[in-house]
Amino acid sequence: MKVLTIAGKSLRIFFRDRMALFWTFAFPLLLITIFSLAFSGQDSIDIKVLAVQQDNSPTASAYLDALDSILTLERVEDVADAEAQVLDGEVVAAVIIPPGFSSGEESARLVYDESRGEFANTVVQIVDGVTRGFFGLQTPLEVESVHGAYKRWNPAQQYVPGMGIMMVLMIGGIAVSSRIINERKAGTFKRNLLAPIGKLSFSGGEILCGFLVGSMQVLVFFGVGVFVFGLEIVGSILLVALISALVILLGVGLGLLISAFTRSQEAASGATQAFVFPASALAGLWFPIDIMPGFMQSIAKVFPTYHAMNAYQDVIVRGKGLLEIAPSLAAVAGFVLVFFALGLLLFKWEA
Amino acid sequence: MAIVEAHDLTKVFNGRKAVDSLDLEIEEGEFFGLLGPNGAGKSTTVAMLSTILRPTRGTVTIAGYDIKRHAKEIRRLIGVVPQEFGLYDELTAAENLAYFGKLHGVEGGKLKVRIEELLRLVQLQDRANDLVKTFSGGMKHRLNLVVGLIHEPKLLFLDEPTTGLDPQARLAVWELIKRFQSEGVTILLTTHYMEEADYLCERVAIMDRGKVIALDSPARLKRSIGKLEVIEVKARKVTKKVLNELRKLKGVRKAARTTEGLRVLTPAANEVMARVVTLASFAGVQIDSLNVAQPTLEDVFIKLTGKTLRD
Ligand SMILES: Nc1ncnc2c1ncn2[C@@H]1O[C@H](COP(=O)(O)OP(=O)(O)O)[C@@H](O)[C@H]1O
Ligand SMILES: [Mg+2]
Repeated sequence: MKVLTIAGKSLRIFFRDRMALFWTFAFPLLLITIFSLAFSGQDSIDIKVLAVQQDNSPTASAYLDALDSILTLERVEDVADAEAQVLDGEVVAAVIIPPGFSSGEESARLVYDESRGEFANTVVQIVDGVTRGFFGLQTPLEVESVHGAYKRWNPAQQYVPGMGIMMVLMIGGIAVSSRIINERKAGTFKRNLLAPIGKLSFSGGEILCGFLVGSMQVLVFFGVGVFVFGLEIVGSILLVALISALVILLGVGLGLLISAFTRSQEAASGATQAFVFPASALAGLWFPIDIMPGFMQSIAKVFPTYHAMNAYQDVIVRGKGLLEIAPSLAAVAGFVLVFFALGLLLFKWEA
Repeated sequence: MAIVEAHDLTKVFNGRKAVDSLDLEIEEGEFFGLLGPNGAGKSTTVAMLSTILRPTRGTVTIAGYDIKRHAKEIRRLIGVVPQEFGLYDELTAAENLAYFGKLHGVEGGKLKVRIEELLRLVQLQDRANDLVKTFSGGMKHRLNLVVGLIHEPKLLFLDEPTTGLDPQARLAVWELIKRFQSEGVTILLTTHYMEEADYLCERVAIMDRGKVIALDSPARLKRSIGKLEVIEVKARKVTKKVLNELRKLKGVRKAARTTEGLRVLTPAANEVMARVVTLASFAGVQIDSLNVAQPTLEDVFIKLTGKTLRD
């Protein structure tokens, strides 16, 4: 298997490059640590909360208007539906105004997702504050916490997958493309072409090398997450591995694509960053997506990183299964296919 | 049957013909040279013959295999020493050889023996396990020469194997290359050093602007100068203007500037020498020496093109 020979050579060169090892393993761990320590609470910007209004009195409407002036209320009809959305992690909380609220027979209920940590606490405080302002001390509000499998917010839920995806893409993009560019510059690409190997062996070897490095990154990041930062993986570890495999392929495909239209390492690194930074910052890898304005939350969905992050969190935090994360996986896989198809199509086979 | 047969081989880059209707036959065991100035199309020819560049037109067979349909079979038979180094700086000398050996299907004990043999051949056996990035330019050059031999090719392409070397190192490489040939390898060497082609090659194709303009043994090529004689002028500060004046002198067939001064081709050396001296003194050019020289391949090139190989 010539592919193994080619990948083995590239891996050997990679492990002799201390700088590459730093950016691949140490730097992302540093990011995970810094973000995990620094972000225990966030400011609230445009927080979406569900509202179920079963009492149509003017008092109830005015109360909800008051809440709407600070939060973004979205009306739903059905209590069970609202609770399910909170439990699913789609919204952080729901306010339920039962019939008989205005007559004083029933209290309003605030159902919130405890696993969202400080963010959820902020929402509870806001609702509580508005309610006190509206009704005085005798608040007709019951606060009720729900949670999925995860009881406590742990910043590692955000930053191990978040920084992990970002750095796997970054290293995939930069290292895979740089290796190919360097081989062309050093004249070794020509020597590989002169060998009696199949046309795809060379890129196959580089893809394999990139995949192995990415796998090592993921193992290190999740290893440190679990054993150092106490990250609990509620769902299946196999699913985490499956998502990771797609993310790694996304990075390798990015590198392949970038190598096709850049001629220097600097250009390759610039092009990778131009993709990876927006795809990280805007797609919820750096900050939970809930704190971003609504239109930004829609923009986030165009990035494969958003879907990868969603899939990770659905499995790690909410313990979801394969069928439930299938749409997210399909979105990432689609990008993988596009990157690989373009990368291989545009690959220059002549020296 | 010739081991290399090329017919009408042509490569066009951006509308310009880098190689123009080349016809070539190289016999098995032959030492064949492509001599031509920079940009003549030598490397482009080697790239096409070695299957890594698709010709715009023409056919090539190597040992009977067509380059378009049987590239893999051909790659097993040929070794290439590219003009630029093709070495992994982050691998050791032995690892570089092992890697390219394995890509060619050389494995295990056979590979180990071959690596030792080749490293000894270029006196790098003591540096086998040092990273190539710690090597001097000369050491890299030597290693680069033998990487293309790891799989014992039947046909070896050497693309300007001594360009940039000092005269002493060049001699050492020449001796090395002669040993390759004595092991029965067919060699195609490209060079822009006429001494190199003259010393090493049994037949030489002189190339200019993509075309073969003469093809024969070095001795016969030099004899093709015929009745012309060569005046070698050692002089400093020969300007383009002086050269043009010189070309207009009676009896001067061709004249070209070399690194040392001038070479003039003429059927009447004695008369022309006097005219050259007169012209030089008018133009203020100081002549250090002047004599009738044996024709070289350079003179053949001057006769055919009016330029030197270094132009
Ligand atoms: N990849 C390429 N693209 C465009 N032009 C090229 C390319 N390779 C070579 N050339 C041109 O083809 C001509 C012959 O080049 P080359 O074969 O390298 O000459 P030599 O090896 O004899 O110095 C030159 O004019 C060179 O600029
Ligand atoms: Mg050349």
